[in-house]
Amino acid sequence: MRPAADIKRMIHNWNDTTGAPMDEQVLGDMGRALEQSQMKAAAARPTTRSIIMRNPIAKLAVAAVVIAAVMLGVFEFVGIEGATSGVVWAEVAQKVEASRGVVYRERHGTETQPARTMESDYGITYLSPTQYRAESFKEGRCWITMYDNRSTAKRVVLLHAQKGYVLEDMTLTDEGDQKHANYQDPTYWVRKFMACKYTQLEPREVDGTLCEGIETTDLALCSDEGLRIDSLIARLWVSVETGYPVLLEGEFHGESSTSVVFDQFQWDAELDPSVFEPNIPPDYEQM
Amino acid sequence: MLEDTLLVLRCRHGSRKAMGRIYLKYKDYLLTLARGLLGEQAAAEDAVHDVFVRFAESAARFHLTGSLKGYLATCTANLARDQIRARMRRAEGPAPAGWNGKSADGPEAQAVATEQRTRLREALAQLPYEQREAVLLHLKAQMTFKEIARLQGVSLSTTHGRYRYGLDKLRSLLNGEARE
Repeated sequence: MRPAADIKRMIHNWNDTTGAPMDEQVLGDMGRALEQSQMKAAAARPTTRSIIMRNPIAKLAVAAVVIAAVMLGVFEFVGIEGATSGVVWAEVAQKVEASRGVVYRERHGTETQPARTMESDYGITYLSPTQYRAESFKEGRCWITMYDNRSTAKRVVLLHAQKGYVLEDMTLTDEGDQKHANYQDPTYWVRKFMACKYTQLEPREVDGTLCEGIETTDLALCSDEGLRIDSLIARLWVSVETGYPVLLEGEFHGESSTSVVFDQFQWDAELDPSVFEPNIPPDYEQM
Repeated sequence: MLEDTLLVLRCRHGSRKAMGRIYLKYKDYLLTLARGLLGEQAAAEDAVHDVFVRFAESAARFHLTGSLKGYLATCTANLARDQIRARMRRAEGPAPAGWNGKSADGPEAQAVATEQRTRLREALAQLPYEQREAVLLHLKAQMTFKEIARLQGVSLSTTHGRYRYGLDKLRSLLNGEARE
């Protein structure tokens, strides 16, 4: 079989070029679009300002909104709602951060790809401060397992359908994939959630556990993401008894519409080192 | 990176020259990416046209938070996916006539295209779209698996699987051909 390095080189070196008619067309259209963009921006700026500055009713409305926001902020800060709550929200992020290891299930969906056509129905992830193991399942069968070890910067990928495996050094970029500051990691979400504006939800049972929840539509939740997000709604449900998250769900709309659900958590799990030890079946061949 | 930040700033203030510089800098890269994702030259050119024009339309309020190259590649991938979806809805299937780069290309482009490049495009066309996208975004657009997973709305391991299975299928399809 042709070496993978050849394919990589071919794709890397592949370069199509635009023709002069296309360049002329695109540059012309871009120029016109840029002019319109400037005109719209120039027209919008003074109108908004003048409405607020000249209209006393608008001024009063702005003042009322500011006062309401301050009051809400004060209530949030002194924890009036939290006085009747079993969950101390400020401590949730701390507990999660201090968790020695965590096991969880994750499910994803997109607007463009219905769940039934996805390769994965769900994934199970085992996460410790330095190691990561993820398994993806379709119809109850695991089709890919990934082991990442950030201490040694080694990655092992098992492709079960092909009875093959790949060993690779994690490049600095790939290593970045596994850092906690990413959307695959519920710890990251909890931390971000706590920094957002949120509203408290009515308590409810989640998988037989009494939970309190919060909901946010604050775009700051995705401020570290590279993608443009226009709107989102996310909810975090925390067990009243343990203070650990039980369910985390979010829908995101923007450059692409996606949803993510994390559940079936085992927080503060003392994971046996063998969990992260790549288990390569003897009949698997290196790809 | 710094150059891009300055170019974007100048675009926000209406500089056509800066806009033109961005176009010249990334047009071939985006065309190659779009061609890999979509196959047809005409569809790829349309996608690249739309990416740049939309960028120009939003220039006055555009804030660059990451790499401009990555942002434009993401826009291209999104537009390509929209086109694929539209084709699916029209029940045309993912690979349109002319995909092999012979009938859809003009004579000039055909002369430039090497046989190997054509075979690569043909092989890419045989991959499921999600695998093709993962392979091209990682190898051509140099996106991390995390970024691709975010874009595709799937887990990191699923993205990795798409990439690995796609690459393996390419190896098999291009098996036995002369190396570069």
